[in-house]
Amino acid sequence: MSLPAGTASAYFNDTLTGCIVTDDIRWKFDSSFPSTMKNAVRAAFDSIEEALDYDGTPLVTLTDVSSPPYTLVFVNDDLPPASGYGEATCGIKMWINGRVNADKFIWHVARHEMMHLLQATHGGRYDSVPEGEQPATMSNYDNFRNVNQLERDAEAYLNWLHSDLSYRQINSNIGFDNGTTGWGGTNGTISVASSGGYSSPKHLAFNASGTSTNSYVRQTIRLWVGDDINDFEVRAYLRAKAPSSTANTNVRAAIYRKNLSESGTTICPYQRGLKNPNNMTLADMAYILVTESSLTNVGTSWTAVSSPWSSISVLRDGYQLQLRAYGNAAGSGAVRFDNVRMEER
Amino acid sequence: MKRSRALTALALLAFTALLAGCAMSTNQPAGSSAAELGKAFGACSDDGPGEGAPAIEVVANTEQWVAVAGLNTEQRPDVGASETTDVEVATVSGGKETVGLHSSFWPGIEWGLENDAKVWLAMADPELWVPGTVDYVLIETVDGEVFFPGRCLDEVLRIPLQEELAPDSNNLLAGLPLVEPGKAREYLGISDEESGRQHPDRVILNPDDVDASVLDPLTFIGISLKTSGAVGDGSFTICTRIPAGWNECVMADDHSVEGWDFNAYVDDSGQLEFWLLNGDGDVSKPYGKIGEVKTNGKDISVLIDTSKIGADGTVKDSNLVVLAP
Repeated sequence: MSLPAGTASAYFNDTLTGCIVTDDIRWKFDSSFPSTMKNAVRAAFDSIEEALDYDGTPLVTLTDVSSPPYTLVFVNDDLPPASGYGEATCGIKMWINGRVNADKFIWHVARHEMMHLLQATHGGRYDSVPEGEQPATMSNYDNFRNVNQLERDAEAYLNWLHSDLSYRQINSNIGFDNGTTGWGGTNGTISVASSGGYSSPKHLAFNASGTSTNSYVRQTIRLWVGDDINDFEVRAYLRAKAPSSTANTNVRAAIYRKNLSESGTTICPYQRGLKNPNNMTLADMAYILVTESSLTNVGTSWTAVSSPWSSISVLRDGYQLQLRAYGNAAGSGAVRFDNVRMEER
Repeated sequence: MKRSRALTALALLAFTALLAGCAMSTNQPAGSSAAELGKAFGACSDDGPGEGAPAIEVVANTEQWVAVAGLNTEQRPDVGASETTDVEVATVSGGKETVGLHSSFWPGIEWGLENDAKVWLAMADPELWVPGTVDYVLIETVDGEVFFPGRCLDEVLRIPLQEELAPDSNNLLAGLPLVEPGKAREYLGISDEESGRQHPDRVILNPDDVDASVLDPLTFIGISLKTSGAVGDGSFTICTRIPAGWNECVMADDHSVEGWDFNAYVDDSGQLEFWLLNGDGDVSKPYGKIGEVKTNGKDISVLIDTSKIGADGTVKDSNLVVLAP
């Protein structure tokens, strides 16, 4: 499908920066809401609810109700297309332009506006993952993907906003309760085990092909920090255990960063999402090791391993952060990981 | 057939009435500036605009334009209406089209037609919007001023475009409807073709940055690195590379004396180069090569003598890296 650049998710007006923090939103379709548009809106809301916290519980719940209080969802015929695709008002309403026709477009606008009601603002601190959702839900982008799905960028943002864990969580699918979504294996293969996890049954099994120095599980998140006023610190944290008492299992947690722009400015140049003024999505920067734990030998009980906190300056405004959980289980099966995360404080 | 002729006659009558100046519009002077016209015909109501695309993206992605000669004034919405309705449009080429026109476009269009301006309807993408919907309206006055009538579109389109396309915004926008489909981004100077290309000497060897086909032939190894001391103020990085691209980096700071554990891809030669880069790890402007070792495709430990690297990153020797036992 050919789509106009910046359509649907390409929003430029930050309207909601002060919504009351809530994990639960009650909403209702206006009585005149076209039935032909309802499925796409519901699908958008469902996709948000599918994002899970570290323990497998929903990060947020969006409940369709019939009695007040609720956020009214309606179509707006007062504006021509170029004047606005949608808008949301904290705790009161959200609307979609009545001339929007394609389900995918409806889905994107509905999801973007509901994310606003869940405290998300533009730029999306954790949007625009490579191969992730295009356009990113909360930032400006040029093209849609061909399918509607909750990708790890918006899911990571929901974790950052709504996880019950201490500190801010930078990545998504921390407890592997959404399968392997967002995760990859380097020098090894990953799969999800359905029982025996640390805080929920599911956890990750990593079958390393190499050693604990060169085999790792990873998730990469793009991070927008252009509007921050203070430096922030990050660390890697994970739980791990050996597959058996005879398997010598070593693990390590690490974070790498890749700068997406030159340093030295506090002005965010990414008016169109994480692309810079030249429309570049990736700068010519290599990944730099930020922090790493020591190599830790683990037994058959879940063991916490974390790296030291490491400061990241706000003088740079775009990052790609790669979380790595190194591990092996010398020839005796797969090392087990759970609650693997990058934390911010 | 008779019915059709009658309708046509009615429509032409309505168009004629419009062109004769019977339609409703403001008394905005003919020589008004784009800013004045935008304020008169493109202002916001109390509610303001909604959330939409950046102005430059809106205009760059218009693929269908309709040059307007007249509107069927019998279809003019009531005063105070705020809605999109089907309207029959007489085109400059002599044809007729029915479009979904928002009521807020009418006064500006009528003013344009009364004052010999060029009036263009920018059609919304029919795959996203109700087919036939007018996205926005671009009007070029006889003096070459370009404005956008319609609710909030002065704020949403004209003002940001005037800034972004300065100092030639009027000329650029006036020519936009005449640009060949698919060439608008290039015409507006926002083409991303060049920046989308990967520089061959700046490939980043990471599974989230390059195709698997680049990494598959390579061997991934672990590196334990120690230095004799921080380089300069500790803001520099030490990175490795092979002919296929750049591997990852560690900070050349005080912690590097204790050591870092990181990784690299190597090819069949096993050779691995070490380079000094800036704190961003910017591979487009390395300070210099500081050494090279043979890995044999196995994990390695290296020691780097940083005493021959200046505090400003000047590399005085390219043989500073040795394998550690």
